[in-house]
Amino acid sequence: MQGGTAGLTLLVLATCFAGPVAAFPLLAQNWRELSPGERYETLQNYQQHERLPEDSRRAIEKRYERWQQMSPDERARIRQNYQRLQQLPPQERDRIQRKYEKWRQQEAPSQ
Amino acid sequence: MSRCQDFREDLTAWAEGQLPARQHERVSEHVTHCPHCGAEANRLRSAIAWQQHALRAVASLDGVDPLALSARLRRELTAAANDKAPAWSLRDVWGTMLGRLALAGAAVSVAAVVLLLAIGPGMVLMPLGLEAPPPAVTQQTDFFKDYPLIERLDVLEHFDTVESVPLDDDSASQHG
Repeated sequence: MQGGTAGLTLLVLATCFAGPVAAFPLLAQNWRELSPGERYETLQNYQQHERLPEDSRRAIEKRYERWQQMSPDERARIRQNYQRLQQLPPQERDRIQRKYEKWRQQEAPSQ
Repeated sequence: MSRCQDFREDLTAWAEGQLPARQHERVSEHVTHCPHCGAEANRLRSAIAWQQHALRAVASLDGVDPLALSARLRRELTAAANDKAPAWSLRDVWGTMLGRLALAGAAVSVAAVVLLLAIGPGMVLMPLGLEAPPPAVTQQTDFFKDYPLIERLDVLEHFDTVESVPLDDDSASQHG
């Protein structure tokens, strides 16, 4: 009985001192590790994903499955490419997208 | 810090030039900077000018006591000026440190409410850890965190190859 009371007291104290995040101990570690700014962006991405039509959502989820299967080196290379893309002005990013569409059309018959 | 109400009581005497020099200077300074009292001062000056003009006309009539009439007019003008003085103004509140803090607090509160209404309370509370995010986000945090990258995965995978692909408008601009 005494042990139960002490445990409950410890839980209450830990909740009070560890801050609001500790109030949701079942949350995935990744979410808790994010900064408030990163959490905000993550939530925005989630909302954007939820707004997509079903087939578009599935297409992105398949890409994610592919991403998960990539090696760390391959992921690092792609992250670098993403940084390069982000540094380009919006017009250049559009051009890259158009180039990709053209390249995909050229590649499609051979695939 | 001065309050408009304090100055309004002296405004008629000030407009008639009946205040002691130092007090007159204080009222002059306030009237210069306070648009409400400045407007009231202008109205008073016009009224006093008209009053003096009317008194001169009335004084020429028989059976009229110009001094008594002048005193009565002054009393009524003072009462009218006091009635129009606002009980408080933002300018007065801003003049005190506590007032500034209160106004800044009110502005922050309004901004917070607007932000909450604009983006939804969840989008403020969840990033701060005060509300649990949707289960999908906690289960696939990596996915939603890297979402912009995942969206463009196909392009990024072949970025170097894609970058070298010529576009039709490239050749057009070269020839043009």
